Amino acid sequence: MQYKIVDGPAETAIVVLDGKLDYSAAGQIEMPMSVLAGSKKGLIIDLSALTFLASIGIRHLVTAAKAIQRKGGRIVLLRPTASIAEVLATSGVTELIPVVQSDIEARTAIGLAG
Amino acid sequence: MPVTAHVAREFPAGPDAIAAADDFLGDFGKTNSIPERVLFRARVCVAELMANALEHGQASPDADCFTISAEWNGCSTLDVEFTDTTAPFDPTRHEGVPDSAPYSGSDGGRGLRLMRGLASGSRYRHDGERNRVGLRFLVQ
Repeated sequence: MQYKIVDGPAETAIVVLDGKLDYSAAGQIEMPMSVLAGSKKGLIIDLSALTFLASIGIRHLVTAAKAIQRKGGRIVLLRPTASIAEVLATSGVTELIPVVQSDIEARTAIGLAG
Repeated sequence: MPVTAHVAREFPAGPDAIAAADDFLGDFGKTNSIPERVLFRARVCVAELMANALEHGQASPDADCFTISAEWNGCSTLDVEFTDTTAPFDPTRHEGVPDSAPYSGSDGGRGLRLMRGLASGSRYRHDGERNRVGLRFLVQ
């Protein structure tokens, strides 16, 4: 798996996840997500290039979401494939982190629109 | 007339088995044109079962092994059986946090919740040597 972090305005960032977020790859994002959760007020997690998602990867996303939300920040999941979206919904994570399908919706969700 | 396809393979019970098993199922799906959505569910479930055996069953490559067998009926049903040689444990049972509970991120068993949610049906037995988990995935 590969990931890319693009800093945005007003203490926001976009994280692009690419490939398989499986048991062996989940460790790659644990620390970066933790750092971002501690330093940003808004995060967009772009899932459009993610091809696999295991529960351990979801756990890292949720941990980051809780850390951001505790300090009043926002996180959003952008454009998952249909299969990834089903995994997210089945896991229950969509009750905690919104899922959107467009860049505009994502920016709005983290308070950047307008 | 649909043609049934079947494969089976054994994997040493280590972390590398998860990726190897995923490739194995992926190749089976590609070879037999199994619908992507159905295959994806099976791949996730097998990964969660293996991760559970490694983390909670303390599976060891020296002492334990996993097997996966898969059967595609050619049109509508993918059956997968996962076996492991760790201590008897039934992942199809709902224990601890209810499957309907909101995600907290810190509670255990969420991978198995995912498995139970993605599979159309599941069964478990211990044959005296191995845990045997059967999962069914239906084209919907």
